[in-house]
Amino acid sequence: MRFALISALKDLRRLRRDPVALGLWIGIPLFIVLLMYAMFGRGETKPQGRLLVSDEDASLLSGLVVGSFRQGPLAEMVQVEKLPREQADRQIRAGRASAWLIIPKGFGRAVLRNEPTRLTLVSNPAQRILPGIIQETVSVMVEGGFYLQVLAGEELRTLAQGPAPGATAMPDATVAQLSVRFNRLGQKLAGWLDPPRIQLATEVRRPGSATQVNFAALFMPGMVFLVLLFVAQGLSADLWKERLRGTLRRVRTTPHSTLSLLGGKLLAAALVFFAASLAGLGCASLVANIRPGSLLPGALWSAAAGAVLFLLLALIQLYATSARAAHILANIAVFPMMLLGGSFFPLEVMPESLARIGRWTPNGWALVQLKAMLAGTVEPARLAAAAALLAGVGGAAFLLAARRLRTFAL
Amino acid sequence: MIEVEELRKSYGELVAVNGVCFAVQPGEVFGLLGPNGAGKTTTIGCISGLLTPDRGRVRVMGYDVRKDGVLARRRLGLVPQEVALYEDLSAGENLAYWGGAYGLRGPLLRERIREALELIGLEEYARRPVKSFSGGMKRRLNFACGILHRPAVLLLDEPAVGVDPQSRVRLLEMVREQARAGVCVLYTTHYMEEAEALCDRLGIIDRGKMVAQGTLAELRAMLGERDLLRLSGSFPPDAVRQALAAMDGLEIIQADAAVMRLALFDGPRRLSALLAALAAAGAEIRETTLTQPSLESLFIKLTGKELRE
Repeated sequence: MRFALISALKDLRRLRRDPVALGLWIGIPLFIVLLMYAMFGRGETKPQGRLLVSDEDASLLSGLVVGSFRQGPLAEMVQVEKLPREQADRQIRAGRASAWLIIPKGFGRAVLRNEPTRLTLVSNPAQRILPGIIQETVSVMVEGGFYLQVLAGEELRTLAQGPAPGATAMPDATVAQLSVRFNRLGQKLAGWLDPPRIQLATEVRRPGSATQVNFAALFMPGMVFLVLLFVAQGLSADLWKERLRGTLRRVRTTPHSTLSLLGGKLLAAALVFFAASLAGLGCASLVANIRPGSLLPGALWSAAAGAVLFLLLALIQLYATSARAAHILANIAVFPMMLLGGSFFPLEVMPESLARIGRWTPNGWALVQLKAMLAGTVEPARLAAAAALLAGVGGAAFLLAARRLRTFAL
Repeated sequence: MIEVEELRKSYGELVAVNGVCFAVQPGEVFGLLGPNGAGKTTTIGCISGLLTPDRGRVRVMGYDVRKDGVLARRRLGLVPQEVALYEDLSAGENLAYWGGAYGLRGPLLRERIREALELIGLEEYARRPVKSFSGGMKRRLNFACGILHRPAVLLLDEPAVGVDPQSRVRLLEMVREQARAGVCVLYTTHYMEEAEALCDRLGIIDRGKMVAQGTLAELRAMLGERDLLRLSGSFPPDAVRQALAAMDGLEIIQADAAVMRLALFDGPRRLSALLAALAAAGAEIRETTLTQPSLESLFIKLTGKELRE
């Protein structure tokens, strides 16, 4: 056991002395992650628009119109900014906003008196979705104004007329009369508005266990496995380096078995895989909504899967007849695994026939479990079965590799 | 001590070692001398437990290498033919790793590393990566990694190949120091001078067979203190053999159309008469080399070829 630790430490030191190789193994997938971060940003991909408002009326009603964009889900999509007409005009011409709403002077009074008025909405032709949303919202408000006039037009007009000339306030009788009529109107509408006659039920359909929050989240776990494949291939190729250098033969003349030697290599590889997975998933959490609690279990699972990948690739190295043959064979194994196993193209975007094959590649199978863990949809029994299978395959590969290593070293 | 009895190892049809027997005592340097492919490395492989012999028995300090492999290997130190070091690690880290492989740790390991670096003259290079070392420095470090745990038996498989003369002298001196300290040393080489200078006893191995063994004096006695004469030119075989048959104390070791090797007593004095007899038999002699009795001449006598052929 102690020799395994010494060997692991030696391999980690050697890896540290070869930063170029380590940088390439980890750097290429990390570069792709950063590229995606730049493309898709953080979290869910909600559109963010800028609505310019030139409120020349500055009345209670115009304030309500502006305020409607600052409430509910609309507030997450639209950023409202009040600007004078000239400045807003310059901004919209420069394409720096999604739309520009002009509320003319006298808008509030006209609405209350049921007189014609005009709201002007200028949209940015370079954008399609957000100006459309803003236009729909304004249309709904205009329609709401129409129905309010139908239901309470007289009361609104009374309010708009205000006190009689020379008086500072409305007569108490008029105020009381308006209050009673508004109260009755409220009672009449209550049956329609509270509770609402139409309720919107939202249901998110999750595609199987591989739940994805956004496009970036589709790629990130696969990228982690891309790193693991690269690192596993590089570390397993070290067996040939050690053989050609004669250090394997020398180890065989010490009192230790090849089990200890391979155990050391496996331990070093597992530590590298764990660090790379934790860093990779940490980076992934920046661009995809991964539950923080799933990072550590996810990294542990990835490290274990990476260790088994290392052992499988080590078997290829150990049974190859030369270092060159080993390199070619490892590439023949790794590239299809990478492309089919969801490490480059997510399984979710593949044609089902290919995805089905991909889910049965070693990395694809492990990736499906990882995604379920990250999404919090993995069942304990299923995870236990997967872990047992991983341990079984890993154990068998380890024993076979240790046995082969005895003659390989010569 | 090392005891090798009737050792045989083959690779398919090729018999690499066949019936080799020898023993090496503590404090003794036993040289295994032979050309490339003679079976030296295979013999070392069988002793160190790397290879499983087809037949025969190998014991290291009384432990059978096959039955008590771990116990035997604990007492062994191997300096392999290749520089079996991690070039990206420093000299100190290499020593720490190989020392750790034999159970050294903590202050004892650090002390041994310090001593080893001092012994091989690399104290100032302890933290430098091995890849920056010269060939001689690597060879010395390779040696130090094999003796760090102070083995009772030291196997050196052509450790001085490709080493500059200065480093070679230093390396040989370090081997002698090991023997003086009571270590049982098995040293393989195909350099005659090394074997003559270093070894207490020698075994001459060729094509997997031990053709002779003994001290240098014993081996020279086998040659009968005769000189070795090498002639090159053109020799009518039958006429030459007939001419030489009449001369006393002369043995034909090799005779073909272009090269002749002869062992004879009192060579310098008899040379002119010999050349005259050959000329009379129709030989055309272009080059003559007369060598005093040595391991080289013994090797040629025993195997019919030069060591570096």
